[in-house]
Amino acid sequence: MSRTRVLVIEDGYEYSEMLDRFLATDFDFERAGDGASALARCGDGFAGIFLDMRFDRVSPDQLLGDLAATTQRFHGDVARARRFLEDNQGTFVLAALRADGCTLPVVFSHDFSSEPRRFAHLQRLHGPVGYLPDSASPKDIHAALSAFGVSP
Amino acid sequence: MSLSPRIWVVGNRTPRRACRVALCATWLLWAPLLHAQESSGEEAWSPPVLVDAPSVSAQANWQKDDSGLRWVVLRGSKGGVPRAKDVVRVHYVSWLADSGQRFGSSYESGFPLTFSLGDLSVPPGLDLTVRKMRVGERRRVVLPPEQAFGSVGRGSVVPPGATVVYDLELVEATSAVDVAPKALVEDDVTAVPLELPQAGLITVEVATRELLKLAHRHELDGRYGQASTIYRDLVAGDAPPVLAVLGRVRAFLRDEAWDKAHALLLRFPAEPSLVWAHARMSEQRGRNDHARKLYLTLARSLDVGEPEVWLRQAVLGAREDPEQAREDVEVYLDLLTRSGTTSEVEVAALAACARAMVTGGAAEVAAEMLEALQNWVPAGVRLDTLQPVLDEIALDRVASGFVLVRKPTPLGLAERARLEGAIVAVQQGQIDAGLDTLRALRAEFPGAIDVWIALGDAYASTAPTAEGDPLHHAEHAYRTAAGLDSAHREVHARLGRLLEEAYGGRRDRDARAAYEMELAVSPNHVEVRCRYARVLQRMGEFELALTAWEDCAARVSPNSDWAAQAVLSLSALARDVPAAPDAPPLEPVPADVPEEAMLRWQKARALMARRAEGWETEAKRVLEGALAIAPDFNAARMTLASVLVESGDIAGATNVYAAVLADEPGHIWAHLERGRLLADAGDAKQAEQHLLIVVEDHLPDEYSGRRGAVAATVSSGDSQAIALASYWLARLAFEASDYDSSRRYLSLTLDQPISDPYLREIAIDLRTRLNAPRVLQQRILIGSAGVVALLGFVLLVRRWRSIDLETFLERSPRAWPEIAGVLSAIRHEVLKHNTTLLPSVADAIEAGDVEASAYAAERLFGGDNESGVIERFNGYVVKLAGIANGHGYRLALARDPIIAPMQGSMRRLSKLERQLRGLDGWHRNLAQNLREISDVLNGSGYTALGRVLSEMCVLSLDHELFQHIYHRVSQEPELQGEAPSLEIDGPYDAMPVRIFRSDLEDIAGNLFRNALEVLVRDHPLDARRVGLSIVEEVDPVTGHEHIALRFKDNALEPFTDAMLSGRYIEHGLGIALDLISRYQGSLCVESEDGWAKAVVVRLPRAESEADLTTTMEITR
Repeated sequence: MSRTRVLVIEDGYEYSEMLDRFLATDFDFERAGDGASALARCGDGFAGIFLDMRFDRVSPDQLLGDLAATTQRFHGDVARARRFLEDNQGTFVLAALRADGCTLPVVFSHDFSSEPRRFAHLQRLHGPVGYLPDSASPKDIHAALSAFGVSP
Repeated sequence: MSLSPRIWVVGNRTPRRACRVALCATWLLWAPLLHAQESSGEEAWSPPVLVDAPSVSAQANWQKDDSGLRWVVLRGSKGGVPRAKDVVRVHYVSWLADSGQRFGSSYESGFPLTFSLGDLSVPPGLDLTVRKMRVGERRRVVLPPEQAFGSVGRGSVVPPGATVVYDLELVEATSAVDVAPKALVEDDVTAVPLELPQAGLITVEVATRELLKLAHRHELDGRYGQASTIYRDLVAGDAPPVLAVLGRVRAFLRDEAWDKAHALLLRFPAEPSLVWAHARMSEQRGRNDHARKLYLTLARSLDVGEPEVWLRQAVLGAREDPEQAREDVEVYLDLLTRSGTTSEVEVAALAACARAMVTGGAAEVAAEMLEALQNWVPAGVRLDTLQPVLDEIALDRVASGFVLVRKPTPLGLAERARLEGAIVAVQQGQIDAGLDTLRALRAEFPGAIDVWIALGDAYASTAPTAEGDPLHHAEHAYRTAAGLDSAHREVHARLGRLLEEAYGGRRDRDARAAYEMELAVSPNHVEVRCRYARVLQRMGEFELALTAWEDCAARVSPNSDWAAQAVLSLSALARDVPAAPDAPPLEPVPADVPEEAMLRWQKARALMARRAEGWETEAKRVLEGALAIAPDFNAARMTLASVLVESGDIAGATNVYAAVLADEPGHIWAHLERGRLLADAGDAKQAEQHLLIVVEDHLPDEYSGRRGAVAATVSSGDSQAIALASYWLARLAFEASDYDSSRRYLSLTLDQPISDPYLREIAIDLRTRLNAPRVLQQRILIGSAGVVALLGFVLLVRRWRSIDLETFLERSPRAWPEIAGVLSAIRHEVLKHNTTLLPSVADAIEAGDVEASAYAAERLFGGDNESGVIERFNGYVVKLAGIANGHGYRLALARDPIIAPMQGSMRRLSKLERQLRGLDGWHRNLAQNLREISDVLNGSGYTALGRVLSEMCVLSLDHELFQHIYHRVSQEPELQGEAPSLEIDGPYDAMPVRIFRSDLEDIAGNLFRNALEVLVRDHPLDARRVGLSIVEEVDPVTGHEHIALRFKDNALEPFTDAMLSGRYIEHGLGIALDLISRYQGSLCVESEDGWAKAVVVRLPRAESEADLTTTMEITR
């Protein structure tokens, strides 16, 4: 019987390692390291997506988003524009996935508890989205995925 | 000027090294002046690494510049480009462009041209070219006359108006400071007086040092005239400093006054560095015979240990005397190998030597030399450059494969008989006959080590002849023998003896090396060991010499000359070592003590003086040996007792003193020392008896009777013993509260001429205590109470002044950004991914999953090279305290409601490290502990941090706020009564923005002011309009909300977004932009219906407090 597959999109390996270690009995976790990889794989039969927000360990050319426009918005400050793209890369990946027709439920690894309005906007803009704070344990992640119908 | 008569040596470097430094500096500066003067009579040969004679017109890809230089890069490089005034080393070959005649090459000599960039010592075009080259690059450059030797030319070598071609290879570029004479650039040079004027010293009179530095600076800066004047004055004295002579020579060379330079250098035939410089100058001018003579002088008498001298004379003599040159090369290689600089072997120079040999018709000798070279130089040391030379000079036998010429070969019986006959002949004084036989044997059996040794012995006993110095041949023979069998016993010893005795100490370094080799082979070779010690002592290696002499003393026969020498040296060396405090004076040694016992005692004393690791055990062993030979040797007993005290065996020492006193009841030092030991042990009564014996003749009568039962006839002790004994008596009396007696004893102590400062100090201290014991005690009590009170007060104040984190944030809004950064880091780096694992780990532990626990431990406590999160957390807490300190507050972190619980949990977690790593096994409540810790860290701690972060720097924007700002601006003197009312639209409700109020006031005030200034200036009052729209916006990708503040006006002055991008600081917008950027906002100019423009400020909208949630539940 095929197991439930979850795509973990993160710039490091922390989540995929941790989930592999603690939740491997229930899910198959596969990792994509940047937005382009995620776009290439989102049609591979995954049941859900676990998505990091900050991508500060990928090279600048792997970041999704218009760096030039962002730089202009920040008055020519490229470093700041790049940092903005890194800090919010999860939302850029999510927007790209949705634009690509991906409707899988997405659980953000980001604490929106202090940004309920922003989270509401994201739900409105990008469809089925949930989140877990950074302090979530593997157990919490399991629960979050299940709550989205991504069950073992 | 007056010069100090005192002689100084610059710095602490050895004379030879200092000499070499000066020599290098000299050479660096004059070599370039010489290169163009090379003899044109030498046969031409192509440079080994560059292309053949240049055909300028045929070269493609020539590049040009405005100076008229043309060049082509022959080999590129990624090396560095030299900096201005760097000293560069360049290999070159130079031709006349017209005729193709070569007129210079550095490859032949193996020494690259060295000069300082900008020092004007080389043709300007050369300097310009090298400045643009990279280290390692090869370049061919064509220099027009004006960039070369001009309309004058250079002697008979370069005709006037000649265009020249250089092939250049930039070998190295170093900072000028690195290569300047160190004595001249170091301001902290310490001059050390030395009273040993001898050949090879650089002697600089202290008064001239500053002048030399000044002259050198003049030279570096190109003020050659001023430098030359200083050098001239210095050289005019009777004993001019070497550096001054070198400077004067440089000046002559710059003026091409060769003869003057030559004449000056001739005045110093015994100064190695000047002779070397003279030789190099002569060599470069083509006067090879003269140069060779100078090198020979250096090699044979002045500078025998310098490898380069041997190489230069080999190179110069290779054509005329190939055999001699080969031997010179072997000495060169040997010196080089032993000095540990084999990697610096100048193979190119050796190749030039071989080439000269071939030219002189001695190809076989060249082949032998190169084969020998293969065996001397470790594999991989630049020998690759040799192969093209071998190919070129067609030494097929060598080029086809290197083989050892000399293999150790045993002699047959007949040859052995011939050898013995030759040795006997030499011993009987028939040296020539013996040498003839030995030379014949050497030719037949070049691998016979015994022949070489005998040859060395024969040469060593030969007087110098016109043919050369036999010592040199002897050394060569011994070294060859050692090369054939380095483990041969005796050969290194003979070499060492030769070097030690024949050169008057000038080659002690080499002799030492030879002796060390011999001792490695024959550790029990007593004579070599003693000679080795003597050489070390002569070289000033006193510590090593002491050890070596101790070894000698232990091994040598007591009646031998070496034994006497060892004793003398040991006592001489021991005197140089400070004696231990309070050490008793040397005992007079009775005449009847056996020599062996005395030697052992001396050795023990030497060990005691040196105090090397483990000396107590060794000294004790040696002394027991001495006492086994001479049981009544009291001096040895006293030393043994001292050793026992030092090693902590007080009881043993006390017994030894008792034994001494049993034999010699009047031994006052034994009484004194035993008394001190007993006093220390608390036996005051016995101690007092012994100490009184020492001082009895010096006490008033009422005290002399207290010595009780110890009946001895004691002559009065010396003042040191009396001082010590009376001090101890005073101390005993003081401790017994008998202050009067203590004072009397102490008076006796202080009456003595005390040489030991420590004893004087403690005696005075005791007197102070005696004079005012109660006052002192009271002072101590009062002082202690004061300190305690002060400490308590300080602690109270600190506690009173300490505040918690939130209070600090209330009082110091300016600290918010820094604090927010740290708190975010704690959440993101410490809690996320790490402590969040704890509940799952607890589950895993209960399920028996060992790996999960280890995995968590790695994250929490770190691995081999990484710090764990606990350490990071503690670092952040320290940072928080630091930020508060920076703002003048002290954080009470230990009782902070947010931080303290987290700190406690981290401490608790730390205590579980061994369990989590599986080192202590799991405890029953480990899982429960982890869950509790997680609750604190990931629950209340995480939430509290989030709340603090959310509450920080949130400002509610509403109409009143902006009306207030606008009103304030409009009341400014220039605008008062001129400003229209502000038209605000947008939601009236407060909208939260993450920004400090003062910063928002600055931004809005600036924008209002800009608009009003233009309006007041250009528009009538009734046509002035200023407005503000507050608009909410949402980023369609990130979901971020912004508040757009649209500052509108109807001023007609052109004002565009491009101006903002260019930092339109005239209007204060630069400051506004900085502030807005700080809050992740943006600023732009947009069009606005009904208005001339809108300057739009976008700031991130904060979530309103009502929207905040502190729950961690999943939101859909």
